[in-house]
Amino acid sequence: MFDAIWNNIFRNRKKSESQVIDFLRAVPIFEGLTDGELRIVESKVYVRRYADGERVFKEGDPSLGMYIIMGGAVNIIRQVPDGPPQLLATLTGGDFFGEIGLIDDAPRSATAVAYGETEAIGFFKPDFMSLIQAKPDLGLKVVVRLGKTLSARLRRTNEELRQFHLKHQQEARAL
Amino acid sequence: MWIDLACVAGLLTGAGLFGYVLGSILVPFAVSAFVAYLLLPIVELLEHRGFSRRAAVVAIYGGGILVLAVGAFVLTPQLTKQVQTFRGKLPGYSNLAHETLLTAQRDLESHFPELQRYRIAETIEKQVVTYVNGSLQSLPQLLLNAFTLLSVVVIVPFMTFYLLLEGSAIKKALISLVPNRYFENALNLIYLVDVNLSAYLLGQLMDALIIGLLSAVAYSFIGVHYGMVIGLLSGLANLIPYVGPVAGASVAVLVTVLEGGITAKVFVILIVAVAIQVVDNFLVQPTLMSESVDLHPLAVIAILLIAGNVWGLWGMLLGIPAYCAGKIFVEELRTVLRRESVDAI
Repeated sequence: MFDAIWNNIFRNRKKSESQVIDFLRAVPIFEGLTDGELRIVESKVYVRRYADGERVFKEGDPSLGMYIIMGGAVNIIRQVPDGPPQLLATLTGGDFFGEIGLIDDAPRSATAVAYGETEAIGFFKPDFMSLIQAKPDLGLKVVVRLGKTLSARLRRTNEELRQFHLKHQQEARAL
Repeated sequence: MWIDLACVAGLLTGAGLFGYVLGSILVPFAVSAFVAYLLLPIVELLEHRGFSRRAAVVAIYGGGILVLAVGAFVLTPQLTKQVQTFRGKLPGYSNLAHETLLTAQRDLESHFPELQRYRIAETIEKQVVTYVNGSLQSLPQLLLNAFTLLSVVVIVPFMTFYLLLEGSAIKKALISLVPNRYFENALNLIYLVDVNLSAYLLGQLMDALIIGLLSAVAYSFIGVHYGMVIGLLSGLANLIPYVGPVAGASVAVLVTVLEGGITAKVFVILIVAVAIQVVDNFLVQPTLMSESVDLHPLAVIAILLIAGNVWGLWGMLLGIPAYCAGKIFVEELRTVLRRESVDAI
């Protein structure tokens, strides 16, 4: 606990506001926002630092929001019944994860663990809701882009599922 | 996990001791935070309408000054007139009370001559005068302890202005101190407390306003003297749950009895008070408090008694919100601990 406080407050590794905004600009959910709008979003996000192996969130925890990796990497791990944890993906700088947590209340579907010293921007549901309330135009832009991102991931998942199903059928025929 | 729990317990104990030792110094800060919390929804509403944060806060302060000025201009003459009339009639009320006591004493002594040596009327009057004098002597000190004039006039508005302007940044900086392991839980907890507390406080404020207006109109309508003053008193007293209509009725009955003895009007006042309490309990509170923390009326009274006993008037005002926040904190902590123990298994 004290290491986390030290890393987050006392060490002089804090990214400046403009660097955070630059990272936000590159995220599809905040694509096309003006500098003023990005500054408003920047005021709502948290920059968090994680040590190697430190957990960002755990499978089954309530979903509270998304993370954007600024530096380092994050392993996404899923618990398999009667088996070892399965590494689903390793995300690096610029990648984001957990965005479904912004809109639904379902528990986290996987565990996220820092791989090496990692810095990430957190954007959470309470702040997202207050953003929509205070700045509905900006909130609507973010909601639409969030919807586009999620639908793109869904299409990709559907396609991967279709490919898997086709491959499975071909293998079955070959047998 | 136990080390973290011990640290949390230590932090809370430290914060409690700090608040207890430096309570009087922290009062302006606590009051400023309370007022800023109440005004925040209005700031956010103005932001929603396109105002910048700074413009919204300035607009609220401008509006507040205007309301105070208009209120002072319109209400002050009426209130001053009623208070002055009451003060003018006070000697008369005092004589009436004295005569009533003497008559009661004579009636009692005619039936029980042995009571003459106790001089009941004189004894009661002496006790009442001693009590009133004692209360009046301690009242200035009581007010000073709760609040200094400087705090009310200068520090609270000044701090409230900056809390409204920079409150989000201050909150964000404080939340950032939480370790990663409990960061999301802390954020969720603060969000839940925020939602429930703001709903409760705004509901309580609206409730006080409605009860004050109802009381002022009702008592003025039935011809109770100083109806507006009694309405104002009822409204302020209703910031403490259930107290408003009772406080208003008590004063209305006292004033009516002093004016003309126990007449039918006293019973009309009691009926009006019951009607106001019924409207408050079955219409106003359920409508305003439907989204706030659900508390049983017995729990409310218990909290008011305990908080009032320990912290006086401020305890009664802030006891329920503090309990609501504490309840949410304990429930979240239980959920987190349950999850941690399942993981350990």
